[in-house]
Amino acid sequence: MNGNRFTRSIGMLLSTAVLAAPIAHAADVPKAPVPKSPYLPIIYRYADTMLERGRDSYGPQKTGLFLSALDRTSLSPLTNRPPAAGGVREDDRVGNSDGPLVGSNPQHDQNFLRLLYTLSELSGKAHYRQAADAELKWFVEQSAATESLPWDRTMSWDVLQDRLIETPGGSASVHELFRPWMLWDRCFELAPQAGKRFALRLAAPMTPGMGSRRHAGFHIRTWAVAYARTKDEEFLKRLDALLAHAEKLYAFKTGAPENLNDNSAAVALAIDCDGAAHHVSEPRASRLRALAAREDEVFCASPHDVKNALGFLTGLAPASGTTSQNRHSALWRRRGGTGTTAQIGMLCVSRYDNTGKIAYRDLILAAADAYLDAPPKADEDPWPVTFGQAISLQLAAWRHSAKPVYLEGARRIADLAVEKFWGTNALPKASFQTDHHEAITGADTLALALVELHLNILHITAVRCPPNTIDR
Amino acid sequence: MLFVFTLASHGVEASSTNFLQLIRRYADTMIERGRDTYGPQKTGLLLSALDRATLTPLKVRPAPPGGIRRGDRPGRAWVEMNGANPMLDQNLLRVFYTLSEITSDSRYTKVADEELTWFFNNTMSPRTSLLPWGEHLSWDVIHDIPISGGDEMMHEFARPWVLWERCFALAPEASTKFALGLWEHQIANHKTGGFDRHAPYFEHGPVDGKDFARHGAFYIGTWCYAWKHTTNEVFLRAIETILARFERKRVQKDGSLAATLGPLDLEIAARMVPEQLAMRLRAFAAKEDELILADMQKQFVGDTNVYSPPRWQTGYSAGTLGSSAMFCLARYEQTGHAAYRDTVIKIADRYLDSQPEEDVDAWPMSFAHVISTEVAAHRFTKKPAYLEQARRLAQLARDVFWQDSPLPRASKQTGHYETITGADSLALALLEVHALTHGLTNRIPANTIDR
Repeated sequence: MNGNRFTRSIGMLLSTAVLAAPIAHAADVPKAPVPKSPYLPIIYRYADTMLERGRDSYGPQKTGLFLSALDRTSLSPLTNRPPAAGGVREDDRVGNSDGPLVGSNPQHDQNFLRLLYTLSELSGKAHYRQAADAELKWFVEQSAATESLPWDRTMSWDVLQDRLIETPGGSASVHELFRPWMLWDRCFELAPQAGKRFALRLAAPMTPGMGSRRHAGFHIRTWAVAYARTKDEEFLKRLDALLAHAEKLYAFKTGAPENLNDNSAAVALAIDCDGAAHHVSEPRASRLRALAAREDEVFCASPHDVKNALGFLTGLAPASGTTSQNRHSALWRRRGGTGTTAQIGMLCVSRYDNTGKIAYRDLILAAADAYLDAPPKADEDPWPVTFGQAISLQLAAWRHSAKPVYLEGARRIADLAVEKFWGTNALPKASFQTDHHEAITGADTLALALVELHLNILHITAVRCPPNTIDR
Repeated sequence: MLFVFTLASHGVEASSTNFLQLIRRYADTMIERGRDTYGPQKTGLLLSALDRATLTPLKVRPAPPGGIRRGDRPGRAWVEMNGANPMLDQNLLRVFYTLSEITSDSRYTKVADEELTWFFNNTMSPRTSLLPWGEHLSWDVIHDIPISGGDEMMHEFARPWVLWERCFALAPEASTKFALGLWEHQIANHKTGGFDRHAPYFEHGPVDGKDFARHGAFYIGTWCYAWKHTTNEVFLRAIETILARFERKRVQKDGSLAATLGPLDLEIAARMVPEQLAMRLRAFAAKEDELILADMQKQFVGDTNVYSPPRWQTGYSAGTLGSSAMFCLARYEQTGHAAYRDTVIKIADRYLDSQPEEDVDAWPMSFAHVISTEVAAHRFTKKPAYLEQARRLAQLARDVFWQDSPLPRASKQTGHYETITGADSLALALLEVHALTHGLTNRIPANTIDR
């Protein structure tokens, strides 16, 4: 079948000996079946239901915005304020502090909007993209027309009363972004002038602490993109001021996480500075990259022991303390303002995908290992976002190691997520222990992860899933 | 003395650009760990994909680099990927020949020669004389069979094949048979030249379908060598038939002309065929130049209706601006046409402060083309900025793709070795930078075959 030794010798030694042996057919080797991927129908059903039942068709203005919370039984706006998923701050929810959750907040739904763009590419159907575009356009233009920004961590738009919802934890002067906003480019394409005014409204956070480090990055990114789109020098002035502030304030020595309230904030800042560098010219770009590299060093030089601690080191014990008092991220439970191991792992994925620094690769693999056989405990109330990040983390480990155990791990986590969050319903619930839909806990991130898993199972590259790394 | 002068003139540190060591280690590792010593036949072919952690054949079909289609990879669908595809490794073979020249170590040449000899003499389809290489096919080194990455055994070129001289020297009969097979079994209509870029490998069955022009050029670039080495007139007829087809097809419905075959392979052919045909080929190529340069000119004046290639994002049938520069460089080297040289410089300018965009799964090939563009611009202008950028990107490519392994990875967002994304072209580009910064006089092959 494959040629005997004599034939091979002839083939190697005599260049004129053509085809002494017959060629076997690939059909002689059994074909492998196409792997199964049950995830995409769940996502289409989720998106279709949101398009049909989850948009604002209420009150005087039918804005078409996506509601950020819904009753999963009636597929309509909530008439009450259901108990929050474990760890959600009341001020952050999309409703007045004593009222029902009837708000729309595109920051909470950002990955859902990115999902819709991806579904349009996958399906060839424009209505997903059109719905996302309509939401962005309305929000950008609304914010430009009024003095308030109907979005940030604590503000949303009441779709019944058509007015701004402001919760006590918010501040009218400083808008605290819930996540970095990765849809600036699309906003500028849809509404250039309004987009510019919108970006100018964002004031810089200049106070020290964890929040400012993360938010410094969010704002640096915003102004870099806004400058690239508008060439308005005001954005560069703001960027320069915040960059100088960050260079000075965050000039920590390598491996000194005791100076940080949250070690992972360094990686978040690195991601946004590096991202911003692509939108500005030299020497500003190099300064941004240098700051990002320094933040990488701060994080990677920390004595993480992900394998044993099942989490990243997020802060060292005080000098007099013991090692056991060091703070680490947890697999499923969010501790205070600190992200889970999967969340920080996804920050490492972003940095590794963009820099190739192998210290990050080792951390990604260790974090992925931690999730391989560690489902949430019965008393935990995990969020969809953590499942989404755990799935994407496994997929990153699969991409970078070619070890199938990670692809299988992603499938296991995804199957559990589908069972627990969706069940037989079209919409995912806010957490294991709640029964309503509320985007703040990251159903959108989980949905994106399931699409990413589908593309990985079937080796599809014609459509690219957006990086699932914006929850930071 | 030359070495010192070169460094002083460019202000570049030699130690930071010593890429010869890196590429030699890559080549040595492929020779020691990346050849076929598996299955019943130990063919010695270079595997086109490997596990970088174990330096052994992959036990899975790893996650694809961004933009790589399922059916184009060197392995059977859905299972472990262990194919050898010399067309995907073509620049690695050229690197091997170059390494032997630079280092005087003949084993690199020996390995490349063995690959060509064995592949041509042992893998050809008995019915069609086509080879299991190119866009979809490869040789499974475990099962010792020709395989497809997709569902069908379809022969299709992935690049032009520029090693014909060597192939005719090593395996003349097989090379001739392949060239004949390409005429008999790839071209469906010998009167009109109708063909499809896909042709069945096992059985005769060409169709008059999607006759992508670049493939017509690749065929001409094959038959011209066959003519040169055999003087069999069938090859001249084959060239004339395809040329005539595109002389007709370049005329659009409104009477305007569109670029089709491109000038590069026609120019190569014109140097080998009888004068009358050579004149037709050159005239055709000259018109292609006019059409292509006019299109490129529109890109650089910012015409909004003109497609401008991305800088770093590569995908199926979607090259970067850097790959356009490589076309221009190839044509400039053929003709000395100043417009092509100037376009290379313009493209080099666009990459002077450039790095892959955020979250783009950049390929080694993208880096290769930009590095070679900067090297070419430096050669044309002597401006240090181009060399500095070539060096910066070469160092970045080394750090991003090789990391702590002797083998480069397939892309920024994958971890295995797979040459479909142009690790071989990157190796060639790094040799160019090394040669330039170390004053080597060896000729590094032009990095212009990814088209």
